[in-house]
Amino acid sequence: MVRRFRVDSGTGVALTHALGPWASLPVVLLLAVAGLSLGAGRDRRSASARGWLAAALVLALVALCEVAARRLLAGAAPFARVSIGGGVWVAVFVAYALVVASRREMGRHTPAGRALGAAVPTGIAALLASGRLHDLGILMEYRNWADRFWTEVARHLAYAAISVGVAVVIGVGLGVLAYVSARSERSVFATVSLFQTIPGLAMIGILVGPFAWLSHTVPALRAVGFGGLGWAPVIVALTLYALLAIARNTYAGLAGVPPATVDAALGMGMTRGQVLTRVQLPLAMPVLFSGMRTAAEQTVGNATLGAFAAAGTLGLFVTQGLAEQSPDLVLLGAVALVVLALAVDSLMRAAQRLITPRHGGTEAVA
Amino acid sequence: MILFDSVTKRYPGAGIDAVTDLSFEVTEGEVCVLVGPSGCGKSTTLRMVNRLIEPDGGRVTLDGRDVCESRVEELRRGIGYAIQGVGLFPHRTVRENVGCVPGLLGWEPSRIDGRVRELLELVGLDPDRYADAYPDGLSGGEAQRVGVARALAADPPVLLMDEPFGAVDPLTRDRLQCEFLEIQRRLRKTVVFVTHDMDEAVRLGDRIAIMREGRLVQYDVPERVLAYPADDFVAGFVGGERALKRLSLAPIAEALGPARDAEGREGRVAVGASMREALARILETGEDVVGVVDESGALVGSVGVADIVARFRRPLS
Repeated sequence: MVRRFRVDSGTGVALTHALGPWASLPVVLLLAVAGLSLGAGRDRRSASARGWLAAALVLALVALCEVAARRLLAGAAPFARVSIGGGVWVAVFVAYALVVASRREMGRHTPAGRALGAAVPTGIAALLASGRLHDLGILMEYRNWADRFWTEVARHLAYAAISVGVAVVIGVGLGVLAYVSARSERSVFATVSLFQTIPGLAMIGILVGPFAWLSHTVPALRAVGFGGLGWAPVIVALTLYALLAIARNTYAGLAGVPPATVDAALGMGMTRGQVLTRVQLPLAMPVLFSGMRTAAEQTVGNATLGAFAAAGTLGLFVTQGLAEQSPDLVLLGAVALVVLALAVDSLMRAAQRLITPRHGGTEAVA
Repeated sequence: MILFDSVTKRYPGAGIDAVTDLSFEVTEGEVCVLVGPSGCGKSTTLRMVNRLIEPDGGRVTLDGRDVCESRVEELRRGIGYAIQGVGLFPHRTVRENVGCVPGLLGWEPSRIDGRVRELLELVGLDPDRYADAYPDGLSGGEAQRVGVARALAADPPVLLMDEPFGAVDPLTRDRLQCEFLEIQRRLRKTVVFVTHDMDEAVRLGDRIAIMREGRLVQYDVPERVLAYPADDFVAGFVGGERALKRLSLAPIAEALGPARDAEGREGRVAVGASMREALARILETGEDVVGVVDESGALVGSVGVADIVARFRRPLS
């Protein structure tokens, strides 16, 4: 899609038209993938071939967009922009989904599976580093915002990390409380589920008033940046949202510990606290951690709320882009968010594999 | 050693008592088997000794001291506890499982290690092979052995066992029962053992407490329970073959006849066998007398059907 200037509504240009002879490359790749999916068997080798072709398709599509952009921009005004159109995004998405599916067939954690998993991120990184995506609108936006971009990425991650950290402390406590005392179970889960039903903007809205009042009456709080807007309402809101997944999985993990094990632990003379810390929580760990993973992934997405509380985060680029009617800026925020979410997901999965004991432990649910 | 004095327990919300006015004493060094149908209160009774359940009325004393006077964790660390389903910690090795109570008592690691090896050998598991194994790698019988070793870890004078051999196949159970008797002969612990299996009770118990609907119906040595069941319930629970069960408790020595009676007969039984085995041999050979031989195989006496019947008629003291 060509725009004469940054916020122009733009004119659609077919990739085939923009590319000329290059256009046959993705078509050939696409046909090859389709042919393999239909013809070949369900063994690992054909899965591997399909996966690598799909990965090549993703990279080819991205790289060819740049080729198209360069051709379209030749001789155009300096303000002109080339954005990737909807059709190409869908094609990239579908091809990437194929990569993920093939990797699963090959076994996620086999060496071949890992290599395929690394192919697309590495390829994109290489394209970015070599400056070959220089002429795409989304990268032009990035260059305009470069300093701010990394500040906001760091802030986004910091808010998410702090919120999840606080939510783990409170959520595990609530989960244990709900498990230990049948009386509090209902109220604990009613409360944390209620938080979940409040929409993000409304949550910020609810917090702004009391927080502003608090920072007004307690100057010490104001000194550390606590106020109706800024980090305080964002972190509190994100923490409240993350509580459910953690409290629920803590409870489920504890409930999954075999009663005979707890009975034996008590009968041997462990105190309630020792039973909890030495037997119940270690055995609940796999389920508990999968709750933390859900919470972390959810929080990375939710952290865009920061934009509504004047606290930055990647949401800033989305809202700013919408306000300026610059689709490339919206995309910059959105794509960065997707990449961040995927990175956090694989990090948490790796951590989960490390933390899950080889022996015992209640069955992980997700 | 363990005394139940008018103990009563009713669970919250239950219409009837789980245990009603229970009074009996377990003698030091004896195995007392609590037996009865499901829901008769036998597990509740056992769990009141280490206060996993607190009685509503009456008291339980251990060595003359009310169990409710001790700090509950200290009380439990001084009482071995083995249960059905074993309850081994799946995230801990066999070594850590067995060393659990010594660890709680603050023993030195080297002392715990030595004790773990000693106990694994006692229950017939090679320490080098099993100490670092995890429970998920053990067979049912091995896990039960580890459970018994864990209960014995801190050398407690009292052992509570709640259907410890309930979840294994009959062959393994038979072996575990043999080994238990062997260990008990050496260690002379005071044991309270819960089962719903009358054969197990007869085999393992020095004394049997038969319970029904929270009450103690009969408390006596196995021979007398089999010979003189207190009422129709006990007679029914003991089963139609109680005469045979009694025979299995009666050693052959009590009915030994002269060796010459067995000359020319082909049936032989060992001198340590029970009358039940002698009777089985008699039925197999089709002769009314079998010879009794010692370890070297020399004929030392005889047992005939008439001797067994006569022995059976004699009243028990």
